[in-house]
Order: sequence, then C-alpha cells, then structure tokens
Amino acid sequence: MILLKTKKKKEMPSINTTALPDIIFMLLFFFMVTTVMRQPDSTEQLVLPITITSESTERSDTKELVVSLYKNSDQQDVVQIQNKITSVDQVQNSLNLAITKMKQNQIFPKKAILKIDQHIKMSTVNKLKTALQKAEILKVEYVHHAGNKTVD
Amino acid sequence: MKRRKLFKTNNTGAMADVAFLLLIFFMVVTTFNKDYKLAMTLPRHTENLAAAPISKDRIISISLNATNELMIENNITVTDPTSDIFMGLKPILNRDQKPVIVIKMHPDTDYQAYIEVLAHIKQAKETLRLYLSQHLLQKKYRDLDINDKQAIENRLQMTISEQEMKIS
Repeated sequence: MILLKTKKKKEMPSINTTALPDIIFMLLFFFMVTTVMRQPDSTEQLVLPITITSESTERSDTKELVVSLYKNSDQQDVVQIQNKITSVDQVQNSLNLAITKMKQNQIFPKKAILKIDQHIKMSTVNKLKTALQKAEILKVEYVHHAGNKTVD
Repeated sequence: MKRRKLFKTNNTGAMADVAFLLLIFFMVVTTFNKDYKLAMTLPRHTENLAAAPISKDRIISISLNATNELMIENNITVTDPTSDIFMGLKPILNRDQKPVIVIKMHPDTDYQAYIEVLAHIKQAKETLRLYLSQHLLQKKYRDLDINDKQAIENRLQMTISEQEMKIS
C-alpha cells in the first residue's frame, strides 16, 4: 500500500535546465564576436573635431554624398568619396566620377556630408570645397562631435 | 531513490535570468558616439571674383593663423570667442544691416580650429536670437509666434566669407 501511494505521488520529472545558461552565454558571445558595427568608410585614422554646438544629424542616406578627409598610415592626406579612396590632388576627378555613378542610378546628390579629421590643414579642406563648388554641390554638413574640447 | 539523491546539484535555472539581465542592462546602457552637424551653403564657383564694395562697418573679421590662434577684429587675446562675435554683431544688427563675417585663415590652420569658429558663430547667433526678441519685441524668444520668429530670422541673416591667406 505504502509503495503504491508513493508511486502515485511521484511528480512529473522536470526538464534539466542546467545547460540553458550555457546556450544563452554561447549566443551572447557569438553575437558579441560576430557583430561588426556598420562602418561605411573604414576610416580608423579619422578623428572628428569637437565643438560646442550640438545639432544632431538625421540621415536620409542615399541622396547624400559622404566625403571623408583624413591622413592615412603614411601620414598622407587622402580623400574618401563614398567608398573610394584617392589622394587629395585627384579629388575633383573622383568627385565627378562618384556623382556620375550616382546619377546613373537616378540619384542626384545635393548635399555633401563632410567627415574631416581634426588635424587636416585648411588648405586641403579648401581644395575639397572648391571641388564641391565646381561639382555644383553647394550644401555641406560638417560632421563633428559635441563637447568642450579645444585643439591639442 | 537514494542513489539519485547522491548527485546533489545546485539549481541553475536562475543563471539564464542573470545572463539575460546582464545582456539587457548592457544593451540599455551602451551609447554610441553620436555625430553632430554644422550645415553650411557654399557659394557658386566663379573663376574671377568680382570686388563688391562692402561698407567696413558691417564687417567682422576673424583671423586664424598657422598655430590655430584666433583674432577677432583686432583683439588677439580672445578668451570667449562667442561673446566677442556677439558683441561685434550686435551693433551691426541694431543698425539693421546685414553683417558680413570674414574668416581669414592660414593654409596651415587646423580644421578643428576652423570648425570651432563656425560653432562659435552659430552660438553667437543663438544668443543674438534671444537678444533681438527681447530688444525688438520685448518678448522671450520662446513666446514668439511664427511670424515674429521669421522676422528675427530674416534680421539675423548674415554672410560668412572665407579667405585663405596667400603665403608667398
């Protein structure tokens, strides 16, 4: 009798969940390792300037031309338009090329997003601006970080 | 029955909860470095620049040298560029003239210094907006209606002219 009673009372065996955290950790690590932050331009040498104003950017992407200006590992100034990297002397050509390419895809760029390293000399920046003027892209946005830091 | 009790294991069911909690905590706390913009409109490209006479009393000149030092008007010891630009623009706007800010820069000026000047101009404009609404309309800027705001904006229109110094 006693034996029968205990048999009846026996609960349904619970599922062993010891491995569950392992699986979750594994997923966590997997995504941590595989996640690559979206970097349209591989500009690891580019340090944006920091200023006191803070008007945030809102992107409408596609219709904008992203132009970056920074020093490469040989300390040469390079310009990167969309994803093509060229020397600063070639800026006009590569700019025109990028615009023609965009126009072929029925995109008519009106605005340029300028990501320029804080230590680039103004003579170089002005070369880029003249090129933009010649290419009839007159709206520019200087991308920067907000803060109170001055040049070091 | 007794043998099963020999393998005493800790209850690890809460481990997953802890892992999730950590994951969610870091997801919420993580911030990415946000980018900000300074929007400008460039003038059309012209080969030969025509000399347009601009009366001296509506010009503010800002100069940047090769070592990123700032000079506003003839003041070389600039401690607060925003207020200096503000003080320069104020009398011009009070006379209801359109100010022209001339930025002269050395070819070796750092971009950082230049962008800082633009930021200070923008900041000064912000202060002027508040000043003008108080001075002209005796109202706080945030209490103005759209027409008044537009009137202030029109009055605040200014030209920024940039020149690269010619170094021989």
